[in-house]
Amino acid sequence: MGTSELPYRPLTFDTDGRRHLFVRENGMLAFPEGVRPAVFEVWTIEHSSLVKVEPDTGDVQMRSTADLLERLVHRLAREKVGLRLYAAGRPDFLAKVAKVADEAGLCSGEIMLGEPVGPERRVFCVHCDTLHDGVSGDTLMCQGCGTKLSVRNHYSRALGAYMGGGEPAVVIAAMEAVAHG
Amino acid sequence: MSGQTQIRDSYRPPFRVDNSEETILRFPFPFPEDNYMYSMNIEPHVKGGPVEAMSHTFDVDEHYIGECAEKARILAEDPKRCMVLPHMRDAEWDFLELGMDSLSSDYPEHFTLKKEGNDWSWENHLLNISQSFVFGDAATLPLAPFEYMARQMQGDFTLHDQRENDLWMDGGMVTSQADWSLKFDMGMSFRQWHAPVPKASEMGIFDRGLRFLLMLQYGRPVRRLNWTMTINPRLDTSPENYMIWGEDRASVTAENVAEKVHLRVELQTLYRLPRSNAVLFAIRCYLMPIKDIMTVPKWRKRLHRVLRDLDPALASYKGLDLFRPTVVEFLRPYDDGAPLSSGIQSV
Repeated sequence: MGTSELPYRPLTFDTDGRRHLFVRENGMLAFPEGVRPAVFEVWTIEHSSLVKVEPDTGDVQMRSTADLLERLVHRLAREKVGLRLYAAGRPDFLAKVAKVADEAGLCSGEIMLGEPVGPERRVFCVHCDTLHDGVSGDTLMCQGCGTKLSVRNHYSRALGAYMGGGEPAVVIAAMEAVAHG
Repeated sequence: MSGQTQIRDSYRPPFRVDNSEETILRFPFPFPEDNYMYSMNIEPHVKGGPVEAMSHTFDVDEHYIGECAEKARILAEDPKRCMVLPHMRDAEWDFLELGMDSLSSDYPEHFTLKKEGNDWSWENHLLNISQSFVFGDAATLPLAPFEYMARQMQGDFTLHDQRENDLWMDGGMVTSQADWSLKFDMGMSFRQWHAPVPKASEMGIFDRGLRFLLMLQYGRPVRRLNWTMTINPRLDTSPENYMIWGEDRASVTAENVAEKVHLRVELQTLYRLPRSNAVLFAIRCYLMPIKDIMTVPKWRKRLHRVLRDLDPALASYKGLDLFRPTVVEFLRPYDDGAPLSSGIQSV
């Protein structure tokens, strides 16, 4: 089967880039592999309201995911060709970074997403459009329409979420009857 | 094209869709051979072909008014069935022009288009629509150009931007789909939106299909047939409403199989659009119950053979598991095993 999932792979510095920006969900996440470029910025989420952005340093602390994403929108709007964006964190975080990058018009070779940390995914209910963050299993109850959703292996970059869909009870019963002869 | 004066079809309970003999014989039966597997079954969309449904650019049949009414109901219930990204404005006008030019020249008795420079006048006699507007000026139409025209045509339409050597799902009106969601697939690349389809990716079909479509030329549209099966004559078999129509799949019995089970065929046509360089993907859906297919000996025998020998993974993907054995068992006595002519024509 093909995949619409995000193209995750171990992060490595791309030597074709002229500027490099690494955004990460916490300070424990390792830098990309390979030769570290001369010009290199790291944005790290500290989950603290005490941090302040130091404008002239390559090591920037962010207060929250929302803080980092807002700054990323602003930054990418002013970027020129040659930037390489690297991201590390949980699937939810990578989905949001990819969405910001897509909306800013970055091409596939300009954004690198590391292997996601942990199993939590974002799920979109196809029946009622409710988004669910941090879903760790393959099933969930929709908070919007109460349908028991199965998470399908179909991912939308624009929504930053996997598709969740239900199955009518009579179909489940009929499938089980067939399976058990 | 008889009986085009009022809405007589119902594509939701209580169902009522009757096919005339003419409509049955013009049906694009999708199986040229006794067995089926995915293939690059793309051919030029030239007027004329093995069945009458292929004889016009956009096919209009006796269900036109009923299908347009059902489309309007679905759009009222779920406005996200029509979405177009802002960068597709040129493609919207391309689509409107293609639709109006084709319908008015193929069916002059039903559609009239007059042009004086950019001052256009459109009449749709079947839906009682009369509209003067300035081509290129959206403010002179009651709806955005794509939505305005797509509501007046049978079937689904998607608009694809071409960039980075790929085709992107950047617009569409989708109300008669075989279980895929426009609002979920918006913005996806060709491979991304085909990701749920089993086997075809491994067979390299999508790579070849994409390479072919990237080179599609203006004025040289292409077509292919695709199929699945639907219980009851439902145009709307969307993922959005699966909890409503899905249980139909568990309702087929030996007694109701001929009435309830429909062969659902998509006549898919693809066009390069001139100003935008976008690709239009038109997906015209035909629903034909087994009882009507039974009236054509070649088709009922071939349908029996195809369903009997269908690859199990494909059958599951198409959602046939709960009723395929019942259909095969029903058709078996009507297949004498005699060799059938190659191709989809009815004899």
